Amino acid sequence: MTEQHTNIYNFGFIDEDSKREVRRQLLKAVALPGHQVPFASRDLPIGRGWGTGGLQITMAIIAASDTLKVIDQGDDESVNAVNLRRLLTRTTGVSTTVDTQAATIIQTRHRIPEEQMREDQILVLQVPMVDPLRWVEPNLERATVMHGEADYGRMWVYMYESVIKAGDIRIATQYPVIVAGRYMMDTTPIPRWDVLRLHNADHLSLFGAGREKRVYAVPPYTTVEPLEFEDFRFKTEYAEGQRCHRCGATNTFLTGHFVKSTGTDEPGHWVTSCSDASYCDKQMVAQGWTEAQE
Amino acid sequence: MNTAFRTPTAYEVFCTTTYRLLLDCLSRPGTIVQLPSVEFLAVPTDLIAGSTTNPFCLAACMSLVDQETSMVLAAAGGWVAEHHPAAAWVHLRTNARRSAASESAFACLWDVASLALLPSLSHGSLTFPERSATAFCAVDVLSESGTWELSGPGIQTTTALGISNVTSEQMGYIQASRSSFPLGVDVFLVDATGKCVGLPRSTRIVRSRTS
Repeated sequence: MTEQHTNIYNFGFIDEDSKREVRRQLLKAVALPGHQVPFASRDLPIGRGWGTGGLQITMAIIAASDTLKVIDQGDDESVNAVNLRRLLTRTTGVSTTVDTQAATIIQTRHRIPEEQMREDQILVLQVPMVDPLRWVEPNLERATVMHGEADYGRMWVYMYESVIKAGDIRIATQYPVIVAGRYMMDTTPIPRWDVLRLHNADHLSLFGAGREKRVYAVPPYTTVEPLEFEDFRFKTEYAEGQRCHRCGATNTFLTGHFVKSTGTDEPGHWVTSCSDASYCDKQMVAQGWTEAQE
Repeated sequence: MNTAFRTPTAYEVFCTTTYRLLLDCLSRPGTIVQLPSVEFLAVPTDLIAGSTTNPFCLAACMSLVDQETSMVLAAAGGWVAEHHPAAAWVHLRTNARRSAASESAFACLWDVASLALLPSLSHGSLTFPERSATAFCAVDVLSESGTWELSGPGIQTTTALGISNVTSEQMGYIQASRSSFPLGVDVFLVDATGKCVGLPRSTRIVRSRTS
């Protein structure tokens, strides 16, 4: 980068007026927990649908003193996380970390970090689909009226029909929840494992959907109740006997990957490991592991 | 890592710092935060004749507005006219539009007597509850103990709030501004030393039983 190009961008990339617009909408989102607030969603050097909603929230709130962590599917080194982190550090100069405990702002796609977040931390989630009613009412105007009237009967019918047809609630991610007893909210593609971790959390969660131009929020100490029936309860992905093949954790959200056959005797096989990679490394270090060993 | 940004101006840093504090105290109603110094703005103390200006309160409100929004001022229980020098002073520095109170996105209230004007601000609609006003009101002294008990999202159980110079009647206007959630007005109270508390419309306010 040549000398004259070192100061071409505004701090945090987007201009101050755009930041203020996001800031104002976020204040409304906090005052109306779970309600989707429209925002302008500016053009960015990253395509809409690749985390631009979360990115604009981070750009609007970040200060030079912040320590940033960016994760994608729990992993700090995934391609989406690496690219968004690079854009943010190039245009703000903030320090970054992979340690959940050391971050002041954590921007995430698809996961809430395994380690408990504190009151002074902010979680920014990148949201692909904002409206939980989309399955039952694809028309945005009508869905907005349904939210306004807290008219969620059709969603309950959808839940009921999924039990009748499939024998259980047939929702993998984007699990619908009721926030603070009023608004139905989509929990983004976080796994069901993380849904209850939004309930009465110590930290503030901010959700941004760049493509759908909406922001919403769950303030700390706010009730987040997943939709469920008395006889068909909300369930997480927990499986009896689950275990991370690296750190041995039995209480984390796991992802699977295939290990190819290394020789003639050993066939290829599936293994599961913690989706939160930095947490997994932390557990490994506590067990005396060094990176060179792997 | 190569960086490619210009150093933010003092005002931009002020806006960001202030915003994080406002976001924090609106997320945790009853938590009192200290707003940063506003000396650089050189707010004249006699901006509105006969009323003392709280520069922290005015600057916090100004940090959120620009040409896309409207802001209205009030003092001594009445709206300040569009062409009043104080409105011009704010307009010159923020570009915020001056519109009728019922259409304004932001209101800066010089004193607690002006809380009586809250009902005339926009409360939003059921489909668009976010199209409502946010009010900043200057008070004398805020404390984390006192007459009022807060509950709702952002508060673990309940929390206490003391406001030195607000009457039950004046507090009644804030209470009424959240009687039909999700419609309502979000309120920030800022005291003379720059201490600030956020009262989003989701916060229920009652007189505490112990006082």
